[in-house]
Amino acid sequence: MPEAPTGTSADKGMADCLRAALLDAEQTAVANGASIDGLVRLSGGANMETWSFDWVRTTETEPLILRRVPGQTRDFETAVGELTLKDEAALIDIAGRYGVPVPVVRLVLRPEHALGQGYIMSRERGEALPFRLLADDCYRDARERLAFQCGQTLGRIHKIPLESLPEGLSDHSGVLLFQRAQELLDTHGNLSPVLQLGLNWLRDRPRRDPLRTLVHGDFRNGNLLVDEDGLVAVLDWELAHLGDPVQDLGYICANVWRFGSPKPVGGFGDYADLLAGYESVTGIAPVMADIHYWQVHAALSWGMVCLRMLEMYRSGEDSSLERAAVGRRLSEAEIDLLLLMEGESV
Amino acid sequence: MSGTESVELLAAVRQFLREEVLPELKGFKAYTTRVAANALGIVARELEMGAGLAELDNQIASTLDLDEQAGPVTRQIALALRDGTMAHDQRILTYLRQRTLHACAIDNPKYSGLHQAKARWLR
Repeated sequence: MPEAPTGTSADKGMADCLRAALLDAEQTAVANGASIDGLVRLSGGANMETWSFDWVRTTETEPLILRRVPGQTRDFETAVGELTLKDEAALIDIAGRYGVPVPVVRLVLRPEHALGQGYIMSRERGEALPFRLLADDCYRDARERLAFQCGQTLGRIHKIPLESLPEGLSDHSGVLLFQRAQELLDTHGNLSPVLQLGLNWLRDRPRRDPLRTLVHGDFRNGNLLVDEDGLVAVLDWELAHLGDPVQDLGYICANVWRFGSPKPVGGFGDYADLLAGYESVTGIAPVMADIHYWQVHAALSWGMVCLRMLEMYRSGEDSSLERAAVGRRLSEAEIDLLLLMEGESV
Repeated sequence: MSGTESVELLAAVRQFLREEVLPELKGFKAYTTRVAANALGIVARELEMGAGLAELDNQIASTLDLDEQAGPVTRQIALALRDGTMAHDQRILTYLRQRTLHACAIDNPKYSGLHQAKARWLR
């Protein structure tokens, strides 16, 4: 079903629902000539779906993205990551108002739309596939600029005043971070001594006087939309939370998100450019020891994501092959943790 | 064993997926088919190298005098590290490095971190 062209019965029903939802949002009775074109599923497991389509009207064609958890969602407050999709949409909206490049949220789904839980947003131009971004010649200039732009953008994210943020963001600051991680390791059967060592290492070295800000939580190559000139939009806000802002800076320097490239920042840039971009917006220049600390955390997080996805597969919550296979990437996270705990950044 | 070996069957299915099926697909299904082919590669490598992991676990269990009836060795060590009843001394660290190298060589032999780790630990 995912790749079926528009016209099959399942997708026809979905297109009809999308059309009705968008007409409803525009409060127009003029439905003539309005149609959903090129509806195609882009990615995701069985839970989270991303669809691309065009909203075609007589005067213009608008490229859009639907992000949703399908089905008759009884509980519209169910969170997929850290946030419900409704809060995720609200957060994207706020981030945009504080100068963070993000898609424009077009419509938050309601139960009467019969499309599940989720939202519709603008489909921005650009590439999010890490391998293309790292390999294609047309992104050479973009790669040069991207680390600095990522620093700037993270600076803007971290400067959003806490009182502007939607409610429902979970707090990972201070010891809460360690408690959550330990709970996760316990829930998944304590099968990795290396992940436990990683958590012990973090817990034994708490940061001194960290700030507490919005943290994107998944800011990395793969969740960044990039064109020939550089960063276009920051995607995938579902892991956003409150915590130490340096977490985001260490995260994008994690080996797993370099996709085999030797460049430390996302596989495309250098530490100095990331930190210079960050300082240009915030006036704060984190030291490498802090980046290193959060690289250890990023490796631990990746390991825990592998365990979580495996659990989703085993419980039947999401029986997709991708979930089952990601469970085997645990050993990558373990290698990174063991290397990082030996000392400086790698 | 007579007839086709398991690893041969896996290699044949893998080749079929990569060379016959994949070129027909795009997008989500092409991606998932690549994941499927990789998964078969993991199984094939585990059939050939999996005994090495069990051997490492048995060795550390006997060194630390762990009760092998009390569940997986990795779990016993993880819980002991959590509860602070075991220090991560050189024996533990050496075991964890060897085990992780071996596991990653099965799961993803191309992983960049694996090459770094080999260069550091197997000097």
